[in-house]
Amino acid sequence: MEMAVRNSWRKVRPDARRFCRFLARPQVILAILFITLMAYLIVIPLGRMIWTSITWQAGDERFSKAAEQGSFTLFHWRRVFASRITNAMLLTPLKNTSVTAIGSTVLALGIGSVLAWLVTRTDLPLRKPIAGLATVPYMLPSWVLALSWITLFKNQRLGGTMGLLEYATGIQVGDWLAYGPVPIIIVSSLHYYAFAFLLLSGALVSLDSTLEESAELLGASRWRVLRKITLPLMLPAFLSALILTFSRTLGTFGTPAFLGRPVRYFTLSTMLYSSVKQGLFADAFVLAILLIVVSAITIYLNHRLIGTRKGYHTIAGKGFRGKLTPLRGWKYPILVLVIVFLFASVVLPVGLLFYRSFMLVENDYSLSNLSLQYWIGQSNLRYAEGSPGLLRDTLVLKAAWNSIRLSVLTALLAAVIGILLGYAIVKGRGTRLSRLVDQMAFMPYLMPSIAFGAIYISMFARSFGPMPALYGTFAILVLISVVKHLPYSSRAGVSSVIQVAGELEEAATVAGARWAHRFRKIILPLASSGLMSGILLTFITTMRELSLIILLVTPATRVLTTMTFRYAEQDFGQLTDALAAFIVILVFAGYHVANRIRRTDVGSALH
Amino acid sequence: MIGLTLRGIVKHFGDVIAIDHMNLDIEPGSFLTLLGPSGCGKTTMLRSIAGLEEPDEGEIRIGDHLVFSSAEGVSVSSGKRGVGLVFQSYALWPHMTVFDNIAFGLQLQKLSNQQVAERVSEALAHLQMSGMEERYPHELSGGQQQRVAVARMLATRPEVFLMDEPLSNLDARLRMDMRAELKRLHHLAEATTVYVTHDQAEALTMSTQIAVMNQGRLSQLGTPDEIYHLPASLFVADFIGSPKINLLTATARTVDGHPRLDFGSFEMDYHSPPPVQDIVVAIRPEDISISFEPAPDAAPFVVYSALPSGSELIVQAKRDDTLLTIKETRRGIRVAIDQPIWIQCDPTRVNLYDRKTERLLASE
Repeated sequence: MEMAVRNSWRKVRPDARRFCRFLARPQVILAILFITLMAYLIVIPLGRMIWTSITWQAGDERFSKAAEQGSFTLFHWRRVFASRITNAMLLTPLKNTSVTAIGSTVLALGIGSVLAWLVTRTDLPLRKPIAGLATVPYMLPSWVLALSWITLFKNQRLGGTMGLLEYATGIQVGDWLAYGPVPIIIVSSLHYYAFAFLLLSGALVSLDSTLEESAELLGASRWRVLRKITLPLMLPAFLSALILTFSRTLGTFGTPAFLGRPVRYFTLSTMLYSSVKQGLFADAFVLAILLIVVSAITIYLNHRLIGTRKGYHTIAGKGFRGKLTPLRGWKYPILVLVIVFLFASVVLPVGLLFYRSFMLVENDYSLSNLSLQYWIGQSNLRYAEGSPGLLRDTLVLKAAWNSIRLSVLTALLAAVIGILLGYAIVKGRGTRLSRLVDQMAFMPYLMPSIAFGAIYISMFARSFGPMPALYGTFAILVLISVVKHLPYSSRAGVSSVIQVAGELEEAATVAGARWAHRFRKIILPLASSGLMSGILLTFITTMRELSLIILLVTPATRVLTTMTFRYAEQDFGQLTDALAAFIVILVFAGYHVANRIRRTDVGSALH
Repeated sequence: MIGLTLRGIVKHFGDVIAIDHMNLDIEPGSFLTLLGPSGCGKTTMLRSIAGLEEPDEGEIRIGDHLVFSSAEGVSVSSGKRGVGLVFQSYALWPHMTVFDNIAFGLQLQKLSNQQVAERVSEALAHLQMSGMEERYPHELSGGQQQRVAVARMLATRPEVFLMDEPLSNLDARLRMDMRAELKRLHHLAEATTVYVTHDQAEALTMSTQIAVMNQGRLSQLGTPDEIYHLPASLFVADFIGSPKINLLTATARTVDGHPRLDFGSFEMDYHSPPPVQDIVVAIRPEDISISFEPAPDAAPFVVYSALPSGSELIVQAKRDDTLLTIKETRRGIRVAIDQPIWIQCDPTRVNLYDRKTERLLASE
């Protein structure tokens, strides 16, 4: 019987057998699986969003008699681009987005590059702690600084209560300083400079020192070397940092939300949010598509400029070994300046956050007003409309649990999926299939978080094919967080697997191990050892995530960040700050726990 | 002991052809070295035998077992081919102890725990690494890691040993010792070994058969003696031998009924007329002798460089456009740059090649 089976198998055409063997390769199975999944989770939702924007939707009857639900129309696009509301809906927010994005990018890059140069190339004292402290702003949610800014600068006219500055000095702070483009730019750059700093110091450190040393040996002065050798060599990295920072600031949501909406200063991202909240989905989707297109163009520019995919920078193994530029007489003045700056951008905001969370009554910044009411106080109708203190509030504790759950699950899932993706890409290197997987895993990078959230509303409001209606569930938050992280996890997975796949796996193959056995005993253990910093990073970024999930949370699934946002909207000043402070505590706790398990360097995993 | 047969192997990587229609018969029990410059396809051949690469065309048999056939769509997985492989980088799993590294393959063979332990000790003992079971690879020196890699291959008792430049990462001294040990293990295990290297000295000392490869093709298959003394083509002649063989263009003439080889600036008597006139003459450096006085049949040259090195003296001698490399092994001989010397060589020790086809011309 067996012989007959074997003989009939032999009769099957050799090409067919070869094709079957090709399909049975683990990397091919994984690749096909992922492509299907990602088509479902990224491409199709995007398509549906585009479709929604070009068809009549329910409720459009109030805008036009011709509305026929489901049929093709350019109405929504015309509405956003060429109607009476274009100015308010598109042009002004577009202008505002450009102003704030360009402004914060320039400022962030200015600060980041100077700091990067000081830390890597000069003999400034305390370089290491400064470098460590400089990355802290990036670990905090970008809007934490916005909240501190409000605490510091808000004026009585708009907020109803005084900011610290007004309280301490009596000076009426102008509206232009308290809200609007100026604070948005300043606050954004104080967050994103850390991003630019990491990119640029990485590039500076990996610059081959012999290139500069040979110029010096030929007689060039320090400044000449800097001008003619270092800066031109750094130009690609600098431009890349510029473009990447710009693409981040384009889609930022939290800061413009806190600092812009009180004065009706809208950016594209906050406009998107408002449209969704008003039920104008089609309008919101038009804006989202616009945001995605602009973001994709900037990243494409970066790709063309640098040649490396996605502009990721790897920090070279060898550190910069050249001589450091002596700062001489400037050393201590600069040090003081840097310390003051770091204090103002890191310590002060967080400190203010904590301080205000201990203030019992608004407007009174004196020490006698300090209390633990908002942290552990009982419910008291005089304060915050009867909400109990943070740690007693079951809603808050539930939200905290949701935040932690979400971040841990996302981090672990993203890591494992990252390794599997990395395996599919690395083992299939050179094939069209592997390239396709790589490119699809990259797509979420192109989409600003707020736009991505919009995509998922449209997608999961009803059941779609085999996927159930996930709107309102915790699962959709995990899903979107993991998918948004795919570009990072696949990159991390690829670099982990690259070190392992190859001869280490082949030795197991020759010894007779089948794929599952090899994966379990060789690839997974070896690839995971490098993953800790990636897992930590995912944990931190998910904990502070706002714009990605703000459109998808419901009261049952709320997390700490969205709760903070709600409280800010309702002007619960102290509770808002207490919540934000709580998030900061959790983030740092997570960082220390991870460091205990394995010494991790977040900077190396940050992009 | 089993032999291997490879027929019509073709392998492309994109547009590059790595193996260009190669046939190879490996005798049971032989130690066959695949020798050639980088990129000649030798590692690809080895990996094809192991099942880590799949050729585009061809047939591979290990013993009676057809392990690969493009025509019939057969490709047996590596683990079922009965081969063992030692990688150039050793490929020891860093998260496992020496014991676990070696036991891995044994456990897949469904041996009992006791049998596994016995085989591991046995393998380690063969490589003088007993007692190292609980060490991790990073705690071992390069030489020790190499031994563990060999032990891992031995433990599963494959009938065919495959080795991919296993000694290239070791220092010169260790390499010499390990060559001898690998030969011994090959003999003890009664295995058939396929060995890849670019080091021709290694190939000459270790092999029973050498397959010289160039650009995906087999240039010559023969014993070390045959390869060294009768290289079939100019490529093989040039590749084998250190220092390099002397290759001189010449024209075959007949003067007074005697065959002579005309090098342009000098001439040499020969014993029989070659079939072609335009030839290349190959002379090994050790087959040329130096004298300090004129002699009949000796051509005058001038010393270009002299490199003494303990047991021998390498001299380069120049005349007009001709530069000869000479290996002088007599003790106490010293020359100075620009010193005039006279060159002689035994005509029966030279090989003649057809200048156009680059193939060896049959000699008597």
